[in-house]
Amino acid sequence: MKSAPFILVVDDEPVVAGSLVQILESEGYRAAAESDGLSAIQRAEQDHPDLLICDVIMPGVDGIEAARRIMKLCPRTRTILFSGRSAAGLLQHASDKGFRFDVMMKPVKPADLLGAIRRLLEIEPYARAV
Amino acid sequence: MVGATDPDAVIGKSIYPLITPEHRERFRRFNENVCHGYKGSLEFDIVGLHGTRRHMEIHGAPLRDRDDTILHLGVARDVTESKRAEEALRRSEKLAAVGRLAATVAHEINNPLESVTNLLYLAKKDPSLGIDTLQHLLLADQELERVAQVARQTLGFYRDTTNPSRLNVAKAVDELLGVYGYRLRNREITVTKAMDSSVTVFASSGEFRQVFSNLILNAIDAMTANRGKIWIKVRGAHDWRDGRRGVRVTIADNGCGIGPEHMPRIFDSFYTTKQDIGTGLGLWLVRNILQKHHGRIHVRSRSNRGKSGTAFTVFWPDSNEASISLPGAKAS
Repeated sequence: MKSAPFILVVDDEPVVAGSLVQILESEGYRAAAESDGLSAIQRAEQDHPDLLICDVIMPGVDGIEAARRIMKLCPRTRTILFSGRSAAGLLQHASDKGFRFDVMMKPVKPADLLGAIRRLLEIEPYARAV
Repeated sequence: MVGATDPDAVIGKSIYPLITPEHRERFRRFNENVCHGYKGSLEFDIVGLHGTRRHMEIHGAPLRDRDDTILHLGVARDVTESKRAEEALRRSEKLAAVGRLAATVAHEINNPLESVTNLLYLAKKDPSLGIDTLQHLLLADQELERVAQVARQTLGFYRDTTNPSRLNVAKAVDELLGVYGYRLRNREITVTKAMDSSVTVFASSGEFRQVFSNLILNAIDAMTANRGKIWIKVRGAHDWRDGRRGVRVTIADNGCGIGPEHMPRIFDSFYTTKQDIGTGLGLWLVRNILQKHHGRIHVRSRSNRGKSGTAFTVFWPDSNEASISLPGAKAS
């Protein structure tokens, strides 16, 4: 039997990351949390998540840089970025390097997030970003 | 300066009738002081011969002749443009400061909002919950949505400027009407559209949606009875002042109108006439976004019983005007 998709949640706010993992598990996904960009990259290299949900503004390696590196390491991993504030500068920088991301703004309603996840995992299996 | 085309219109005439009434007394005192031997300067407004208001600056000095009689030497200049530029700079600095503050506070507010939203979602899914507790959680969720809405409106000002793109204005307005379709149907409101479907504008879709969703929501909220009417007009246009190209969108309703006593304050923050449902931030935000993009907003309203209604007209300039198409096929 095919195992449930594995989703890696990255947020430096432990309550955000932890509660999202619980929501995802309650919906039947496998999920794990990391609290910074570097740990996320290491975890992704090891476990090859089907989907990455990543906060943008984090200390150290920010979410966009982490997502870019993970996309290189794991080309099949799809990405959802979310943020509590605008990250226009970081997004422009990524766009200049050929990585175009859109960002869901916090607070994201869990139903909206689950809808985006379903679309990425089921309807658009090879889409790499929303 | 005063708009005279013929020297005879001004030579030998008193300047006093041109000075605005609120500045006349100060001007008179200034003149008196100079005539008593003091020098000084004064700023005042005049209304020229053709009704144009100008901001003036005058420097006056006493000159004494051989008999020690004091003559008044005054040099006045028109400082309207420099005052305008100064005010624009002050406004843009203020906006930049508000933007920086908003971005910082947004991060601090939206993260806990995200946590609480998630935790409430989890709590509601607990099958052992009693019906009362579930009701409490549903109510908490609704209240939280209000907080999120205020945060979006106030702190979202500098948000979603990430990827400005070329938007089809009629399509964007139609999408918004779709979002509010339930409310419109529920209140049996008829929307009549006259939209040029070919008009596009280069803008951030988030800001664009924020401006027009606020205006559409205001139109809906203005309806005191069911079966009201809203008219939406979209057309390519030029700014009548400087010729810039852009789009002009009019959103009109036959709702209760805005009383003249409210009109001067409708764009102020936290000013609302919608006692229970208003945040007082919608039009403030609309104006700020338009200022940021050098757009314009104009409002006309009547609150007379039976003839009431409001029309907001927005001019949104196109920052990449090469590709705006004018005119085009009408859609309705």
